[in-house]
Amino acid sequence: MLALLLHDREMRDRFRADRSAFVKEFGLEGADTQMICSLDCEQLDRQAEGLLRKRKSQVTQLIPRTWNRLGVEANRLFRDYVESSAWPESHQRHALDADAFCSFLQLNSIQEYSRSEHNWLKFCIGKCWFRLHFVSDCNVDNRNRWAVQVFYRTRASGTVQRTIFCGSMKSHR
Amino acid sequence: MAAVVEVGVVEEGVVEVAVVETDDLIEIPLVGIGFRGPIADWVFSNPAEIDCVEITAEHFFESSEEQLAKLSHLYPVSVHGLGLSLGTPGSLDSQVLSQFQRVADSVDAKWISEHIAFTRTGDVDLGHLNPLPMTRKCLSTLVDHASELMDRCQRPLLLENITSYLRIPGDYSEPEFLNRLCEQAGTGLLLDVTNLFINSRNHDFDPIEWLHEVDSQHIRQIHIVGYSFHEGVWHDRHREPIQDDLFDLVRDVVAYAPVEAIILERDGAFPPVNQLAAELTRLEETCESAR
Repeated sequence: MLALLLHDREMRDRFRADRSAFVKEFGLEGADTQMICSLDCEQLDRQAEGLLRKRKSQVTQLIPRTWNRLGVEANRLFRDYVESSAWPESHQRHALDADAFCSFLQLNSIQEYSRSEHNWLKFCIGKCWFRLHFVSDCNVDNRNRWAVQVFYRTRASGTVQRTIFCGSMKSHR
Repeated sequence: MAAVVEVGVVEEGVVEVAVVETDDLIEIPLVGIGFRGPIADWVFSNPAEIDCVEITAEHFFESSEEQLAKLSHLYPVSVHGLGLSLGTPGSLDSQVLSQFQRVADSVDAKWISEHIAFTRTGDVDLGHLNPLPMTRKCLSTLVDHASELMDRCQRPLLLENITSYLRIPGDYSEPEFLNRLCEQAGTGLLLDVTNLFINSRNHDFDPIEWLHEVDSQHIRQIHIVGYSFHEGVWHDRHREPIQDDLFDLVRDVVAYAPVEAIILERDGAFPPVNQLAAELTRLEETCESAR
């Protein structure tokens, strides 16, 4: 029940409004009832916000270009995404979260969505050894450029990204 | 004070140095860093400031063993878990457990560690660490899971205190809960000094009193990173340099307990590596002054 309260803002609102009704509705008994009823709603909100902040922090590190492009709208869009989707699981949850957020932006035709960054993220999550993409939004000097993205894996270096622009080539891991 | 040292010339160009009396030598903890991608090249360059390294098990579940072998060749390595959710009743996730064990074996881990927390239940995976009620029931769950993890990995296990904005009433105070947990499970405590500091500020208690309620013999390792303060609340964002009051708390802990290692646990906003090196050096100096 504690996990569900931390997960779901609506449940916290119902809990805050009427604890007795909440306990009855979810059939809590004995020590569990006592424990849940003793929780401080403000602390509960803060803990839930903390979870969201940590989750967001992981996503921003995985898709920095997209996040920067979203600017002041980033937080609102991330909250909208969180409330419209299930929380990802497994040890790859942060990468899956970032992937799902990118898909959310794409689905909602958000202009700042970066296909090239999303491609790289998907490659890192997957198990594919080699992948090619032709994209129009690779960034050079803050300008979008047409480019071919080449992704591959090596045993020694892990995942490698090479980007071939018109007349120039840049690479980074 | 110094130890008695004998120096002799064994053959031309070879000098033998032997420490024959060690009573006056002080033992200070190893000082190391959490291995992260942005500082990987620096860590692999084997700088003098790094004595040991901690890796996060989940970061290596998908990777080959070459990087792990390279690390374990350079340093004593500890393996830190984030996702075993030791506080969740029921069985541990066998797949995660196997992957954790593989990583620990790959680096021949000197220690393994996990959090005193839950990250998921049967209903939902919250993805991050959450507090447990300090009850007999939770204690029993943690003891069972800690024993299972140690049995599986056959390595010393350290359990770590977390930050929490939420206080849940239970049967024990936090130090009492930690003492019972370490005694019953046969584990050590990985004391996150930053988490202790943050909790003491957010929940208004004295961290030194808290520290002295924990059996000193349990505290074997320290985690530390700078805290942040925003809108009246203290946070563990793992993105700030270590503040002076945290160095003071480290000194108190090292003076009090037989700490074997200190890990700087930076996760983001990485500064130039010379700044990280300076933090590690200051940690070592802090330990020397404490012992």
